[in-house]
Amino acid sequence: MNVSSILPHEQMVSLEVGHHGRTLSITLKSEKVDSARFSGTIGDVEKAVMSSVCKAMVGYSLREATEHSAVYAVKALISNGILRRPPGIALPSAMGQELALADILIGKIRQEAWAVGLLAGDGWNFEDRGLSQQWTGKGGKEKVAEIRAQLKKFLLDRGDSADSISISEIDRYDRINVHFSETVPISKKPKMLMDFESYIRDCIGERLEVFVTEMKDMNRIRRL
Amino acid sequence: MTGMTDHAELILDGTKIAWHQDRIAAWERGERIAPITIDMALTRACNYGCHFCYAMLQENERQSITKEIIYNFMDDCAEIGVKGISFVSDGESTISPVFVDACKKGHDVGLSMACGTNGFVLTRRKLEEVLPSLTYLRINISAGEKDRYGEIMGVKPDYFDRVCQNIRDMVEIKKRNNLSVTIGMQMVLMPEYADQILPLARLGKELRPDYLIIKHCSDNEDGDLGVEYGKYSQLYDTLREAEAMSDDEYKVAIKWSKIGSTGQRSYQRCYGPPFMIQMSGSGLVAPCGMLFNERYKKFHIGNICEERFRDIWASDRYWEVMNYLAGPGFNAQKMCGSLCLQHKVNEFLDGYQKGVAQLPNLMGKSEPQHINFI
Repeated sequence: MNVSSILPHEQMVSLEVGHHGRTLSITLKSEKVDSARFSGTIGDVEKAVMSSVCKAMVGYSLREATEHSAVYAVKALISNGILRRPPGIALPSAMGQELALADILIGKIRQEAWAVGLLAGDGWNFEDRGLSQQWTGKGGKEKVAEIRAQLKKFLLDRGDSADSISISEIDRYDRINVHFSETVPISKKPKMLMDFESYIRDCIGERLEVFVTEMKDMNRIRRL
Repeated sequence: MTGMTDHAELILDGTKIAWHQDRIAAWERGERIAPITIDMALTRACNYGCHFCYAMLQENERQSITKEIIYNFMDDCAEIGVKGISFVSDGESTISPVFVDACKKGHDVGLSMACGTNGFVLTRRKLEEVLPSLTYLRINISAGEKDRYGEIMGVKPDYFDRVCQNIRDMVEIKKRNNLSVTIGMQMVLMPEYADQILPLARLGKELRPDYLIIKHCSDNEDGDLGVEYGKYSQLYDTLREAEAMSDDEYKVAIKWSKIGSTGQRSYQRCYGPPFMIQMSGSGLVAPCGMLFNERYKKFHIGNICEERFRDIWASDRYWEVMNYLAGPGFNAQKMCGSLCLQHKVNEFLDGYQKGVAQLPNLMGKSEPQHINFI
């Protein structure tokens, strides 16, 4: 690894590792990944994979970037049709040699960062790529209106009736509670919910969660 | 944090996932793997009202698991490569009319079978029938004194005497017939039961099961059970005192790794469910017990009362849900309850994915007990 420059006044650090002719270069600024770049890549697929990994690293701590960027890149690459989803779990290790190569380079960065104390003292990684402040800062009515608008389009696109799903509330953790109309077959509900959640995540660009009204325990001798 | 413990004959605080390296390798290659372990119940009904019971939070649309359904399920599990079935989950399986048949059927088709129970209906006759089919039988008992037993377990105090006698009987039957079944007692500990730690450890020493395990209480993401994780640390001295009551034939073990973690997870991705799924006593197939309630319907995969398990497992829907939990759209630290059944498996697999944990070299090492219950 080459810790090529440390500029204390800007708290900038540059890191570079290599493997099989490819290089991963990262610049950290104020402990966040400011830029990430692969070089020596071969072929369109490898370039697309490496680019996706780099994009998933920027803006996050080195710890978060090295631990989870490959997973985020997998999602993006499948969505864009560059890589195919395997039959089982879409782990980076299951997605082909290009991502395996990226993972090796990320692993090298992580190992060397530990060795020179850039990750020293870190406990567990609790950095969350969750809801943005832009979303959480919105008023409740504005959020509900936006989600209702997306729900309307979602149901229309699928040919479902407009009252199949209704928004009950958005709770204080921004979780969206919905209920189904009685016309929706029971067997259809689970997938429909997951599809709706996926739809609004894509449209609104936030990690929103969709739930159904909780069911109370039917065992009368238990306390809740 | 890797979740592995040092090799021990009976691993009560850790995971045995590393003993299934062929399945881990297949998972890494992106193949569809059968679960190693399935935890389920034969009913959501229960004759107890335990103060700590997570089943209070797990209600979903109930269906009845008949003998035909459970026989088909066992056949399907054996066919696809499931290795162990435990009857724990969200109901008291021993009160199901199909309990004994289910244990025997599972055993006959080559599955390792186990049960967690309040033990109330496991009188001698039933024990004689079922113990030969079981790898382990674990009695849930969170008090060592009669009146407190009644309070904590939500039943008449007199039930305590019957359960104690049933434990004596199962220990005696095991010894007499030289059975391999492991008999354990389990205390789900909320900090307010601290006064029962030592009485229970002493009770176990008198009743002579193979072990007493003391574990934390799991809560959901909203803390609805009211578990005060910060208070466990006040109990450490008492817990060590309980551990010290172990002898050559009776082990008192504490799930330190969970009790000490204050309810938090070191990992964000949930990799465990493909290796260990849970099913509700309603027949519902879900990734885990934390997602049984109707509230989490988006994770509900199918129901064995309506469809064959082998078809549910092979469905795109099953793998869509598993991928959701393993993907970047899910963060177990934020979006999940505390310290689930899959926790140690999750910990290990996450560490393995990050290159922090390695698969151990098991050449020449003896298998731990209960290897099919990871």
